[in-house]
Amino acid sequence: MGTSAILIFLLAIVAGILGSMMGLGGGIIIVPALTLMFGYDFRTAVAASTVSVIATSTGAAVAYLRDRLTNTRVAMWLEMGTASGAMTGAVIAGALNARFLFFLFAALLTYSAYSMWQVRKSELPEGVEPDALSRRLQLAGSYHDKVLGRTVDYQVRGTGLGLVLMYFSGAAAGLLGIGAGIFKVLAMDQVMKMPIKASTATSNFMIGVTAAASSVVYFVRGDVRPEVAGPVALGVLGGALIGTRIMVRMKGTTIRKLFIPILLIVAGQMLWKGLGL
Amino acid sequence: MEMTHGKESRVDSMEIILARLLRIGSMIAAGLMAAGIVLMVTGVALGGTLVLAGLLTLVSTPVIRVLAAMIVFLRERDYLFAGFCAVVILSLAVGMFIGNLE
Repeated sequence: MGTSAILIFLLAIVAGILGSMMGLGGGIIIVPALTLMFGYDFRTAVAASTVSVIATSTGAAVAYLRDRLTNTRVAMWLEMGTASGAMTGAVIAGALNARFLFFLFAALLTYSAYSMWQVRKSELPEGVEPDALSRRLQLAGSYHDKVLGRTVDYQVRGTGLGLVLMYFSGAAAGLLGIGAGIFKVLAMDQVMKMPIKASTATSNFMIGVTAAASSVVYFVRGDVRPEVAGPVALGVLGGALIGTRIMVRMKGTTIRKLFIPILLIVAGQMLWKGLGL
Repeated sequence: MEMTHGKESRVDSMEIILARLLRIGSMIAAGLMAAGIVLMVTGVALGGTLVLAGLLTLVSTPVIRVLAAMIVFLRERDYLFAGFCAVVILSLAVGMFIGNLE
């Protein structure tokens, strides 16, 4: 197992770097790589990927919390949506048409790529008026931006809609197995108008919680194989340490530009699954 | 001014506490997994168990993090946000229960 363990470890480092920078779990890399390149079955790959989501989240959170990029109050508020969505996702799974959902999310992601492209030159959102709920919950945040060399104070809006979206993203993550992080970043960036760096860092913080619940199920089923999940988790943890250092030195506009192709790739994956190919 | 200062130091302490907790958790997990993988490669049977212990430690960190946040909110008498954390923990527990039934 020596050689493949090293290869999986190296691959996981790359997934950890990308995932921690973008606020995503890295499942879009881990699952195809383990199944297509290493020939592992889908269940083993998904279990390892779920563990890797937690590794990204915990590994990156240490740095982002210290840098004040994580908005913990927004995270706690939105986690109610993702956690309850994930909980009911299993129950409503039978009532929903998975194929329709894949098409719906593919369309949503394509549209999001378009709206991100439109604001590709904006480093920070401007003139954001907080709604009453945002004021009541004190969601406004502030962090020191190393690239801009100044403190960024920001307001949050779309508080209620954000929670509703998180409920559906939590349900979808449970049903479809992808899109856990991507919808969190989109909700905070596009709907709640948070700075992109705060959005990806806060998404990173949140993704571990939902993944923790589903990973317990994989442990009980015996899908978590130590020779696969071990090197994946260790590599992703290391990658997250590197990724967070890169991200704080990046411009918000650069992160946005990297996010657009990821949106299109995941939209393509969803379309592919919806078509049943 | 007093209010703003008070709020900031409160938010800071939450972030520092959670960062410290997650760092300790990930260091223990990484240590167990690294030792386990080395043992597995050299063919020692205990290796797989150590890796699983590391993975379980890692997986528990986000849940412990929500619990820790709830305790900090309670200590600050921020009952609304402590309640949010309770909702999250409850949903996770029910979700795990439903998931394991299937």
